[in-house]
Amino acid sequence: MIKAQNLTKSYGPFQALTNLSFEIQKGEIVGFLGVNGAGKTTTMRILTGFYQPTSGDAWIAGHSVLKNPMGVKKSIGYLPETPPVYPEMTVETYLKFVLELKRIKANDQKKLLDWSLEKCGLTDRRRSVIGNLSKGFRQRVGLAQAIVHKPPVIILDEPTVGLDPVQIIEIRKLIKEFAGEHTVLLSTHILSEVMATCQRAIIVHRGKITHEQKIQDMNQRKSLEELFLEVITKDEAALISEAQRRAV
Amino acid sequence: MRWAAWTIARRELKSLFVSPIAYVILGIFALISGIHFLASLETFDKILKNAKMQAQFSQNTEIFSQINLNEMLVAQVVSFTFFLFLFTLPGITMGSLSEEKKQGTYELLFTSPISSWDIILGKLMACFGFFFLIVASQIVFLTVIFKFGNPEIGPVVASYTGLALCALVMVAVGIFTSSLTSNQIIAYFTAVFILLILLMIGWAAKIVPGNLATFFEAASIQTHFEGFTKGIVSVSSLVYFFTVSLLFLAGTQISIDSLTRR
Repeated sequence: MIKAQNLTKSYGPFQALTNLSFEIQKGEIVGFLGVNGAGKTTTMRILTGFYQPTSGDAWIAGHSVLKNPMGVKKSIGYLPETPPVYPEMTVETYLKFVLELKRIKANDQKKLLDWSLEKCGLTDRRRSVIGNLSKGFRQRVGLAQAIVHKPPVIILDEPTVGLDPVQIIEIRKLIKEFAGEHTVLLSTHILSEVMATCQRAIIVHRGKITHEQKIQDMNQRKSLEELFLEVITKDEAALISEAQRRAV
Repeated sequence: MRWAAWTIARRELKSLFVSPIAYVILGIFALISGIHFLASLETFDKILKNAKMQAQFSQNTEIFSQINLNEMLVAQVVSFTFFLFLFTLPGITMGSLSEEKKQGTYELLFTSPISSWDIILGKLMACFGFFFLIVASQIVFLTVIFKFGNPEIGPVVASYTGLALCALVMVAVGIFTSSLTSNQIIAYFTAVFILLILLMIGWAAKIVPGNLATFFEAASIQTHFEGFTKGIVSVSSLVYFFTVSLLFLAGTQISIDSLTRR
């Protein structure tokens, strides 16, 4: 469903991604794990057709992000780091606007709207102005926006950041419900999040994939936490020793 | 009409009317152009009375043929509206794209199956729609003029067409500057600056020599607008308005596409 091949992205002299390749099957929920600045958001922006890769290509539901970005945009729902909401709109009018942007036929709009409101627990807030909602509810509106058109692929950039523990559990439960029908890629720097929601984890560090494993396998061999720390500290250690070598 | 552009336009217009900006600008417009209209009416009345006295005195009614309602009142109103537009239309356009950037909603727009031209045309339609609202507030003036006088209809239509074309250029410039920044204030002042240059380049034509003067004059928005207020609709002016608008809209497209093609 999602396939990335040798994705490379540089912003001027800074290389954000280096030869990133991975594949995600239909119905899977995959966690994209990495420290801040590891390249998670850049990868997601390329997958959604927002950025163009410097080299390499990615396919979403068979559409290439380079050759057919419109096809890609039709098959995805995307929640960026900050929910892309208009504070002056009500929840309902906002989601209707999103449905029109996604080119959903007028006949199907009402059903999808009600469905997404219910899924995200927003039914009794449908007439609230988004600017007056709490951060948690605004995040839910962002999530509703990503799923409202029932896209085959859902991409979520740090979906639980800034939420309280109860909200985090609710959102995680919601994401889990998407398994099977939708393919979900979510990014986070919280280890337990991946453990709780995902079937597979991809660890990125400094724009490279350093590890990829099923969550079940991890528990048997090494815990995800150990792996993550190992990857990062190994890299730091290498950097420090290199710096020392240069100094000498 | 393209559907996605219409979606964008409707949302933009609604948000203009949720924020105070639309009301502030409409209010300023109604007040200032109302005062100006009264003053112009008063002046016109004085001129007319003077002419009457002179005609009585000299037994010669020829002097009335020199008094033209179109030139002395309608053109006055339209030219003044043009100057007000220079400072108010950028206020309408300043948030059109900069706010999308600031709120992060451009990520939604650019990951939806719509083209950047849909976004630009939508913004253009919304801001241009606002122009019609402002003009609608001037129906009162036109009613007064038509009720108590009989102006030629041709020049009135031409004047408002000219005004609409100027508004098109101004809105295109405003949307362009709004696409450059996420700060509305910067977008506003840059737009006013560009518009003033488009206007003042015509004044500069009077002090530079030869061909440069011809160029400056042809590049000035005022030259083309004045033709319309006199009732002259020339092809070269039409071409001018459409090319300048298109130029700035194309600039907008490059600017917003560069956001995603870094």
